[in-house]
Amino acid sequence: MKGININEINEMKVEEILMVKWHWALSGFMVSLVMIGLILLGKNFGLSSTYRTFCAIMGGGKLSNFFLFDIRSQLWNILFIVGVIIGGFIASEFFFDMKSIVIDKQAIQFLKSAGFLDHTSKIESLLPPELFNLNSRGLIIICIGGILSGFGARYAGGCTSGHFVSGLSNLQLPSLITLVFFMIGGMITTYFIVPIILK
Amino acid sequence: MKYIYIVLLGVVFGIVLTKSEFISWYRWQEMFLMKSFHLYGLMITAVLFGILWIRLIKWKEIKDIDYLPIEIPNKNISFYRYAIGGLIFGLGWAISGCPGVTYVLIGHGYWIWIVILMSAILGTLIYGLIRNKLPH
Repeated sequence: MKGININEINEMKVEEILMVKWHWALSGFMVSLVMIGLILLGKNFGLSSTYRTFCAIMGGGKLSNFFLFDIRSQLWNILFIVGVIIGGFIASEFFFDMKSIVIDKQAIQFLKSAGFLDHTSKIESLLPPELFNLNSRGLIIICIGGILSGFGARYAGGCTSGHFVSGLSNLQLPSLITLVFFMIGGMITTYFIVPIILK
Repeated sequence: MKYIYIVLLGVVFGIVLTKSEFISWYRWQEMFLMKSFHLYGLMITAVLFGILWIRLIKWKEIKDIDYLPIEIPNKNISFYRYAIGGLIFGLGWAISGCPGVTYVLIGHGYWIWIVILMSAILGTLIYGLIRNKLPH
């Protein structure tokens, strides 16, 4: 990517600055700011807790006392995810070009041999259309994935945001253990399940 | 006012997850295949800065917005729940993403992610029903 000098920045609109591809270090720094922002507001960063809140809102308390808690104490997290959805909308509408994502060639080769990216080696979407569509097979697979992530996140007491970012930042050994197993689980799926799901 | 800040932080997070490319399914595969440093770099940077901010808060005894002392709960010590739960979460993540990604992609207008959100809520419900039988 070409460098940007200060004069150019002055002439750029905010929108154009946001359009620039972000270095991973900038993204990581911004994630840490969101986490610490919530802590300064007296809250803790963790998104999978919202699943539990939804269960409670829908009357899960009748089925398990795990869903019996003061829903009002978690409403802030619902507000947070409303913000996340709005943020996703704003980013997709105004300053994100998914065609700018460059994926490693070997990874593309791996996915091609699994039947993904059939007609093109260019990534032009965020999600593989072969899998994320309403035909029964794709839908069943992604729903199983969803159930596993919802179940596992609560069993482990947190997801990527709760354990990885919040937990590790607070130097929690349990978060390190969880993280190692997140990675093992993900690798099992990618190496052994992804190659057979389209077959 | 506090709640407006919370929504704004959510908006920032939604934008950051998009711009970081964390929401790309292909990026997850690349990460689990260990072919790119991109998402690892992102998470390592987030944690390093996170450690710095939390040390700073503890060291300076910084108060939160309501002038209350900041308490960050420690995770309970255990092994099984983190290992088994983590493994199961990882298995699902590589196909159906993690919670943050789910909400961001709904914001992007991928309505099929509402179905994934429902299934993840169902997964949480199943956990609530059988948790007493699971090793923790």
